[in-house]
Amino acid sequence: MTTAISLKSVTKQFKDFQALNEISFDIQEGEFFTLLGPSGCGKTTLLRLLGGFEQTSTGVIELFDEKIENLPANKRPINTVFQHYSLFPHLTVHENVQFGLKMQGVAKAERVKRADEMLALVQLEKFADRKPNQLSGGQQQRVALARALAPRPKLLLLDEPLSALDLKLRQSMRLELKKIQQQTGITFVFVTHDQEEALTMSDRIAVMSAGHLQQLGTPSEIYEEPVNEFVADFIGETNLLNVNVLSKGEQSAEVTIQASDTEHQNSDVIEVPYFNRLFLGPTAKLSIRPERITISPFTGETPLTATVEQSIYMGTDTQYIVILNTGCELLIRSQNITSSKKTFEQGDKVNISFDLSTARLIRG
Amino acid sequence: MKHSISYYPGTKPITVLCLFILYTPLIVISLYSFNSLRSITTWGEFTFDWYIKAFSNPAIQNATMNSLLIAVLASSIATLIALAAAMGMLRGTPLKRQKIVVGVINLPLLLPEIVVAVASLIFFIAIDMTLGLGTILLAHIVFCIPFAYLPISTRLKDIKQSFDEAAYDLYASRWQSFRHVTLPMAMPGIVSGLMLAFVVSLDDFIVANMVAGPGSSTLPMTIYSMLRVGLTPEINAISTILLLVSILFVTASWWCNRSSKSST
Repeated sequence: MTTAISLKSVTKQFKDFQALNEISFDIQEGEFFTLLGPSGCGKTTLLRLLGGFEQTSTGVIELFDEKIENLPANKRPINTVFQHYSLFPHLTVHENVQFGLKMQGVAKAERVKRADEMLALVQLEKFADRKPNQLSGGQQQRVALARALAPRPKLLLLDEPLSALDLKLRQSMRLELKKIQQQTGITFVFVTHDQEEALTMSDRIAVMSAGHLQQLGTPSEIYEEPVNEFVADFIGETNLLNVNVLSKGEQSAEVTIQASDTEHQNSDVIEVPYFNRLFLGPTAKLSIRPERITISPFTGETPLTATVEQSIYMGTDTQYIVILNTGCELLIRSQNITSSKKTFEQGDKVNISFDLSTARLIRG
Repeated sequence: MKHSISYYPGTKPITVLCLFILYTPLIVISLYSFNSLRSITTWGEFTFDWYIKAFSNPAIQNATMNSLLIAVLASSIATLIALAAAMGMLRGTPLKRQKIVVGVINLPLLLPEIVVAVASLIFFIAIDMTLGLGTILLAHIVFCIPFAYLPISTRLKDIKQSFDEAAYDLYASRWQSFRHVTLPMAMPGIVSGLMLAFVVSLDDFIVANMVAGPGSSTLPMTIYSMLRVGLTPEINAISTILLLVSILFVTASWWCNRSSKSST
């Protein structure tokens, strides 16, 4: 595999605000790579640095081993699908798609042919002669994609392109984007704040927060093995319990769950796996995904008993908020596999269990 | 809380009175330009004679040509300058005293015309320029600039910079981005500015009268000098045409800006 883009200690300083702090990572050729983070985390700034709309303060950006950080946007073989598409309103769909090729000086016959191909790729052949404002949001989105793909860029940047679409359309566009990415083989860098979008489409995800890269990995790595509290909390939902680390081995550590107050002391030692640096003492948190917890009728005093605080029926599953015997609150999601499955009501006493191998110890 | 203006007593009669005072003379002049009698009080029968007569008058012919020539040149040049100014003000890095610069561009709108006229005359004489069509043209270009600048800058403000970014992203140079994106998108504002400038130049009397030399009369000047001999229906006819041209251009200018608004 070749490296398509390589960031080396990239920093971006606006007047009194550090938008990006020493960002370094590589993106492989042909990858669907996502920059994920809450608004203001620096993901859009990073995208603008890649596109050439902003200058790096320090650091190096290499595109297929060539330094590009000082090239202006129009000299980089990189195209962008903008958040609000920015389709040229005075040009037809076909002319919009041809625009990049025309600016590159591609001959007319070739230009028309490529634009036709691109419109076929996004299934908009019939709309070639329309103006952008005669198209729906989803169609405009496809035109923007065709326009950015037409010059066959070495890298395609997508700046939250689905955020303006309604939910149903967004879901179908996710699949379509992924399909088009695989068909064209072009490296995609996708920016989003929507973790579901990131998980469903990406080969790898870079989770960002406050100008820092928090974690980089495949969707399942990010979900299953979050390196810190931010990632665990931002990707999906999770329960974070304060734990006291008693001892640690190669891959697992012995911990006790800390109670929220003194009258609920629980000194049962449990052994859980961990994946990154850990310190002894009350320094860690245990992350347990709500769908990995089993809730069952109360049968006796097991290590974890709880009282149901709230029970919310949500169709595919039922969501419970329970109070553990240690005093902490826990979110549980239980799939409604059969329609007759017994649900628990507020005030019910229940037993809680989870497979320790699915719980993750992270630094607090 | 918003009131309909008819809520205030007397709105209707005041409105009618204002409209009456403003427009009755114009309507009377227009109507009597079709009157076969020389009188402005008694109606004979309908005729186009005065129009034919006006058009065959060599003084009016000459003045019309002068006026059109100056209006076309002055409005085109003023529009070019205004476009360049608007691009500089709205697309360049902001100047240190941007507000003052914009104020200076728009100054001719505020200055009393007679002051501009006298100042221009003194200036032209001081630099020893022969008064004539050339001096009228120069003076017109200057005071037409703000009329072209306003619709152009309004339009440019509405065009988001992200279109420029999209053009750069698609390999356009700065010039290509201007030529293929900004210019066509700003065109309604440019045409609107051009037409406003054209009408303002065509209708100007005070400045032209002051800086014109012998034999370089424009149409409003000719009408004025004919009036001194006496009001003839010929003047009614030519005034009606001027009025129509002005209304047409101002309406077209407004229309251009309006239809462009709905497309962005």
